[in-house]
Order: sequence, then C-alpha cells, then structure tokens
Amino acid sequence: MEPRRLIYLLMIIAVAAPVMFGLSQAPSRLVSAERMYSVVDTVEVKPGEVALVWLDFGPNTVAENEPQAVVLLEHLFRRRIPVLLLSQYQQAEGFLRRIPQEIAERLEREMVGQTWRYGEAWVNAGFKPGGAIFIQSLVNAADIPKFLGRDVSGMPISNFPAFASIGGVERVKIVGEITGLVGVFDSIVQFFQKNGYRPTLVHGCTSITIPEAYIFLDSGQLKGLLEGIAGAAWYSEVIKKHFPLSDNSKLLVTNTALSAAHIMIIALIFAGNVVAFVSRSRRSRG
Amino acid sequence: MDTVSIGQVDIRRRVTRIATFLGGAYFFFYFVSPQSVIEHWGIQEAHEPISNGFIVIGTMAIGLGIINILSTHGSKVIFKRKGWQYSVALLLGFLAIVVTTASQWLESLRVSERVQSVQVLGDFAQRIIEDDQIVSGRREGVVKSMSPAGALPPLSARISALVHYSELQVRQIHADVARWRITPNTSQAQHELLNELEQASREVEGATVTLRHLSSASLGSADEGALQDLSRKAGKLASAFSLVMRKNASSTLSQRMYDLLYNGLFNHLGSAMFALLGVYIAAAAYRAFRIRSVESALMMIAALIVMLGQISFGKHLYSELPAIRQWLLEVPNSAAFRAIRLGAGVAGLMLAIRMWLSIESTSFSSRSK
Repeated sequence: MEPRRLIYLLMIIAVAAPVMFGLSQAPSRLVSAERMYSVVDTVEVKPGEVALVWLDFGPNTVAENEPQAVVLLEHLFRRRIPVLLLSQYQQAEGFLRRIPQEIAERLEREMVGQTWRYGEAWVNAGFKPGGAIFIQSLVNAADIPKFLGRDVSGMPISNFPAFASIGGVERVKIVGEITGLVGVFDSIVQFFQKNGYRPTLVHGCTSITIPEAYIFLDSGQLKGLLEGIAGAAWYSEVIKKHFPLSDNSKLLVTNTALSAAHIMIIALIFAGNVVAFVSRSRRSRG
Repeated sequence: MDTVSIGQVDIRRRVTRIATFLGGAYFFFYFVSPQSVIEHWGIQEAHEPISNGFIVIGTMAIGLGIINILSTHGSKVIFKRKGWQYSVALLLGFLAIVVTTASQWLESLRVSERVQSVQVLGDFAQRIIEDDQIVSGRREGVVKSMSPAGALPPLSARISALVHYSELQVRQIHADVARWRITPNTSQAQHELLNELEQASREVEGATVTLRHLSSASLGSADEGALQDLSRKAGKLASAFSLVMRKNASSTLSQRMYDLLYNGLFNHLGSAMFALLGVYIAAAAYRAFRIRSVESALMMIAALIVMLGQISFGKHLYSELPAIRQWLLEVPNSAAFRAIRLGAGVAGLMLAIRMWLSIESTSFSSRSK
C-alpha cells in the first residue's frame, strides 16, 4: 500500500475508533473557557435585559462551532437569560432553528416540570444581511425588537413579552459570537459599542482562528473564548461540575476522537522527519 | 454613435464615483463625529433608513447572483456544453431549495397570522382600559380606538365587540383542538400542549362571561380588573396557541422537505467536504513538516506544545503543558499577530481610501480610458 493511502486509512481509524466504541477522556483544562463560564455565570441580567448570540457558521465548521453554541446556550438557558439569536451568515439558518430547540428539550427532560419555550427562553431573529452596516444600525437603534422586526416565522419580536421591553443596546448584557469567520467577529468587536457602552463579549472560534482571537482576549475586549471543540468540551465539564445531570458524554467522545487525530498527526510528523533524516544520511554516505 | 456611447460611459463613471465618494464620506463622518454633533444635525434619526438603504442595495447582489447562475448554467444545459449534467443537478438543487424554503416561509406566515389573531384579543382589552383612562383624565396620551368617523365608539359597543371577538376565537380554538386530537400520529407531547391550550381557552371563556354584563358609561375599578384579567389570560392563551401551532408546523410537508434538504443533505455534504481537510493535513504532516533549520525546529516545537496542550492526552505527558500552551498563545503569538494585524490594518486603510476616491477599480478610474 502506498504511504498516502496508509496515512488516510490510519487517520480514518484514529477518528472513527473513539466514536464507534464510545471512548472518552477528560478534556484538557482551558483557562479561556473557564473564564468564559465565570463571565456568563456572574453577569447580572435584570428583567427586560437579554443576551444576543450570533451563530455565524455553516455546515463547513459545524463540527467545531455547534458544540460551542450548545454549551453557551445551555448555560444561558440554565440561568434563564432570554436569548435573542441571529446570524449574518445565510448558511446558519437551519442551526438557528435546531440547536436551541434541542437544548430546551434536553433541559426539560433533565428538569421535569420546568419548561424552556420559544418566545420566552429564546427568539430566532434569523439571517440578517448587511454586515458591519447592520451591526452599526443595530447598536444605534432606539428599540431593538422594532429594528429587528419579525422573527424567522414572521411574528413581530415585540409580541414576545420577554423581549418586548429590551429598548436600546444598553439592555443587551452579554453578546456571544460563535463563528469560524474572522471578519464577522471583527465587525462586532469594532462596531458593537455606543457612548461608553461595551458589551460583555464572548466568542467561540474554530481552532484555525485561535491565534487571532487571543489578541482580543489579551486586550480585554473579549471576556471569554471557546477554542474549538476542546474549549467547548472543557466548558461542558465545568457545567457538569455545577449541574451533575448535564449530559456531555457525546461531546467528550468527539473531543477524544479529535485528540486521537492530533496524536496521529504528531506521530506522522515524527515519522516523516525520521524517514527524511535516514534518507539524507544515506545520500550523504553515498 | 461612438461619441454618444463614450459620453454615456463617462457620465456613468462620474455618477458612480460621486455616489461612492458621498457614501464613503457619510459613513466616515458618522463614525468619527461626536454624538452631540450627530444629534445636532439630526443625522441620528436619518441614519437607520440610510443604513437600511445600503443593506437593501447590498442585498440586490443576491438577485444578481441568481440571474448569473441561471444564465451561466441554463445556457450550458440548453446548448449541451461539456459537463451540462452537473449544471442540471445544480439547477434542480437550486429549484428544490427555493421552492421548499418559500413554501415553508409561507406556512410560517400563516401560523404567525393565526397566532396574532389570538394575540390581538389581549391587546384589545388593554386598549379599552388605556383609552378609558385617557378620556377620564387619569392618563396622558392620544385615544387610539377611533371609529372611521374619528369618534371614540361608546364603551358598551367596544366591550360588546371584545366579547364577540373573544367568543369567536375561543370557538375556533375549541374546533381546532377537537380536529387536532383526532389527527393520527399525535404525540403525547402534543396532547399535553393541547390540554394546556384547552385550559387556557376555558379561562378566557370565564373571563369573557364576566365582561358580558358590563355596560356602564365608564369603567369602574372592578371592570378594569375584569379587563386586565381577560388581557392576561388572552396572553397566556396566545402563548399556548403559538406553541401548538409551531409544533404542528414542524410536521408539515414543507418542513419535512426542508429538514431532508438542509439537515439531511446540505449539512452532511458540506461537513464531508470540510472533513477532507483533516486527511490532507495528515498527509501534509508526513510529507512537508520537516526540520530543515533552527526556525523550522522552533516552529515545530511550538506547534507540538500547542497541540499537546489542547488535547486530553497532553496532560498525561507533562501536567504543565496546558499552561505553557496558554503562555505561547498569550505572549509570543499575540505580539506577532498584533504586528500582522497592524500591517494589514494600514494596508486596509490605504485600500479603503483608494476605493473611496475611485482610483482602485479600473472600471471607474480614469486610467481605464
């Protein structure tokens, strides 16, 4: 078998084995995710105030971004903070509908008798075009529900009591941005502010954009960061510590599969260098 | 003829350049001007419609994209050019998702209209209270429940209309619930929601009976309380009705088609495409990631620490790996990325100025002449 095919086969086995056999390991402790948990857990939200969460991802980065969206929304739902969901990425539309619904159903199964319902726990404002101009207009809007208009099913957002009295952007206590796109996150950092108002901004990014996100974390513009699947996995562990009935087993298996893939890549780098070193030595010996 | 067309192109260029400059100037000055200046010049009120206008113009690109797809792939199919079969697949996929999404959207609108018709009940009761408070001088504001002739209808007429509307809605909901109960495949969860809806409609029915006997010229505190009670219960009814309608809408044909196309096909195909990267990275790790110099050795050590610090197995090798990874990302990485961002920012600024002054694009600059 030629090396390329062997590498592909090994990679598939490394990823598939933990998923097929349900193997899971405790995730690595990530300080940025822990910081984010404590920010979301301690932010003070009064009646009429909300969280605004952007889910700007499509099928291409769903493997990394969906677990992040799940843990953030789960935490906000547990805290009973009303969440206004929206996206500036058209491919996210299906996730805006499915993810909060699944979390609500899971929490209702976990805490029998309690309910998390659409219109009370969350509202889906859908896809919003316009990029940075939209963000600037949103920030300057005197009445956010009126500015956003209708939810994804055509119902005026102001018809939902939990969201009717938001008013201006000052009532948005926490802003979450889950994305694999750097540009959208940059626009939020740059434009989502007004007259001294700065939101508590948390971010979930894909592994490839972690280095760039760290400059905002370091400057304090970002209060918490979920670094790829690993960040979401550690966040879910912290949630589990506080809410032992929370089920994060699937996420831990995914994180373990990812770890196995990393080990495989490290092994391949090592093997590639050994092969190169040996062939160089042979060549130099003649 | 040539002279005329050259003149037209020149005018078009000038108009485009002026529009680009004015658009850029507006957003630049809006962003850098203090709030007091913006408010003094009345820009604040105008900003929202102006921004919406820009968003609408930007959204037109979607229409252009659709026209482009249809003309490019349509002509390929019509003239059976090489690979026309792929164009057929693309056009069919495009058509399927457009039709499904449009029918799902229309279904959503129907649901929200029906829910709003129930929601109006609570608003109606609230409006009667507010108007009465304004008329009796207990509240400031403008009376809203005017007849077409401009007069406020008598209280008894408004109450009678409210009672009639409430009875009509409750009757309709009872009929809907009876129909939904006998629908095959109604789940236990749906039955529970229907029970809640029935309970809420009975409460509204009770509150409406109290109002039927109300016919005085102005509202007493007990009457106001009865209206408040109806308004609150109508809100609860609307919420229960909305949940049932949403649940029912999730099992319609358009929703199932959407789930099949988006969650079943598009989502998995998109993820599969991206997942191929993992396999390529593994092959590249073996073939290309070689230590040939001190710099590449440093890069490899940093990469190994960052990878091992992030994964479950890393802490078993050395417990401090996550902390070292954190330091690498926070200190050397942040410093390097800030420098890159600063450079990119300056370049972006230059590019923005060139675009603002229409000297970047050859289509609009005088150089193309």
